[in-house]
Amino acid sequence: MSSNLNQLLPVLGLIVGSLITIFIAVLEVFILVFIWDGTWNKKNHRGINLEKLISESSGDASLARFQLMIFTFVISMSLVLIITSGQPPNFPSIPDQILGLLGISSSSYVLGKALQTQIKPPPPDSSAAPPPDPTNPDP
Amino acid sequence: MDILANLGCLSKFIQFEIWLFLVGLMSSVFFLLLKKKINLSGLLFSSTGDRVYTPERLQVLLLTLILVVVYLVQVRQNLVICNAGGKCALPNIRTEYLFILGGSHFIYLWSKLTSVIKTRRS
Repeated sequence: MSSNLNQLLPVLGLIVGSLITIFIAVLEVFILVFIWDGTWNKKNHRGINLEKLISESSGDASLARFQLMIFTFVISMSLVLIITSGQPPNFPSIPDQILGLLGISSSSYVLGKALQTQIKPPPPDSSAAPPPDPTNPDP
Repeated sequence: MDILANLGCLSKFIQFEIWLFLVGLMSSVFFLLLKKKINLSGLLFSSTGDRVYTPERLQVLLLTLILVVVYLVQVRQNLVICNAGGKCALPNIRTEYLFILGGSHFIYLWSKLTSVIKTRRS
């Protein structure tokens, strides 16, 4: 009984691993197709629209977001390169300096955002009484 | 033995799949940036009050690109060591570069702060 189970477990692992891999592969293809569809054909109003990927709420592009995007791409790509180059593939430790690099970039984004909110005008007070209408003589 | 061979194939397929997705995502984003489908307007302009060109933003952008190039060169050196049978590890960024990046961001944030103060006073 236990020997049968020992033989079955690797097969089960292979089947489950293959299914998860296929599911993730299909998901990745869909993400890429949706990105192209959503960004290229804006009139469709479907898919993933990346037009404002690095834009602020004002519509201008954000330098901090752009920098964070570049750093994320470069570090993730180098991580995959290093993982797949090893024989056998293994996950390397992430140096503190890389975390510091991402931390500086992210904290600068947060501080910049906090500063920017300081210049926005305060929302109108809805509880205040509306100004009197000059065309209406009744109070 | 067959199962082990199949697991090896699965491992190779996962590596290929992740690699393909990352390359696809990166190339899509950069192609859309080049084709101006992703908004890049106002990247080097002040977002507070008067929309003027700010050199502080330019220095942050240039430093980012320089750091990326330096890091990629270090990754390439580490890959050569890794392929030669050495240790496979992510490269360490020198602390000096982090200080330079921090200083660059400090200049950027300082200019933003002074701009905010000016706007609020006016």
